[in-house]
Amino acid sequence: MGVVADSIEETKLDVADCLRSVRRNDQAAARALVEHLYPLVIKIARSNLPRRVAEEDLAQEIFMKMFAKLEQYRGDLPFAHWVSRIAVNTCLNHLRAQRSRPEMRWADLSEEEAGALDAVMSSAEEPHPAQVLGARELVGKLMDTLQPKDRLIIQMLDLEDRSVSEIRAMTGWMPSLIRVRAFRARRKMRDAFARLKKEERV
Amino acid sequence: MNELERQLNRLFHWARRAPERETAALPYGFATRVVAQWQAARPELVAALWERLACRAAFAAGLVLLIGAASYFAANWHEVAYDYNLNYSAMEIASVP
Repeated sequence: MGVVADSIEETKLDVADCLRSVRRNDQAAARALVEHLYPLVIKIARSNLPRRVAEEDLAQEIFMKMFAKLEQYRGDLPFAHWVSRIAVNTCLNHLRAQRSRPEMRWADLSEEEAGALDAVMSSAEEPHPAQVLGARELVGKLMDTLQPKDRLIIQMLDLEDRSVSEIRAMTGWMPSLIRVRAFRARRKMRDAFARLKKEERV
Repeated sequence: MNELERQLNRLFHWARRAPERETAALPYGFATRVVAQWQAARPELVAALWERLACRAAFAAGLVLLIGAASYFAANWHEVAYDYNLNYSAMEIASVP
């Protein structure tokens, strides 16, 4: 499941043994488990962070849910994937609760974002580092206009370059659903981008 | 692929190149804080577990009660539904002067 999950597997923690200890209320094992999973959880929380929520608070909430549901973990999928699903669902719930999705306006763009948009449209081959950062922020703003699930799909497919099977492992969604959702999300993203371009021309 | 799609792809490509915020390092005291919060919430978790167990037990007991009642009525349906003998004897008593 990407670089983070690979590095998690590389670190030598016997997860099964650790889980047994946590179920016996061993606090040291619980701390070790949190330390072991933190890179994975914080990466998901950062990628899908709702406005006005601190990433550390979100990570803490994800870990609390993990401990609360630990008895339900049957071991039929890797523990990191199980925790990923909790993390993804927690982020989706927060994004849904946010309700309002801001309209994107040309006037709201920062200097870097406007520069990135200009450069993207003028076919500049090698972007300036500031334009790269501007592009990242601009994509983030465009994604804010999408529904939470659409946003998640764009984040994983287009920004994190994950495969459908990786997304399936992290979300539990069927591959056909992922493809359909990705297609729709991409179309919405294209529409939002087209609106922005039109505004710029005006 | 039209121009719009190409530009959007370029935008994504550039966005992917943006350096990720490093520090997957654990903030100081984070694990301890999470574990302390988990421990504080533990009595609630145990209570919730008992509550779930009690609900399941109540449901099972209700189900057994329903099945028992249904099988009892199925076995004694004719006797319970209409007691002809009782009615005949009542008519006999009523018709004898």
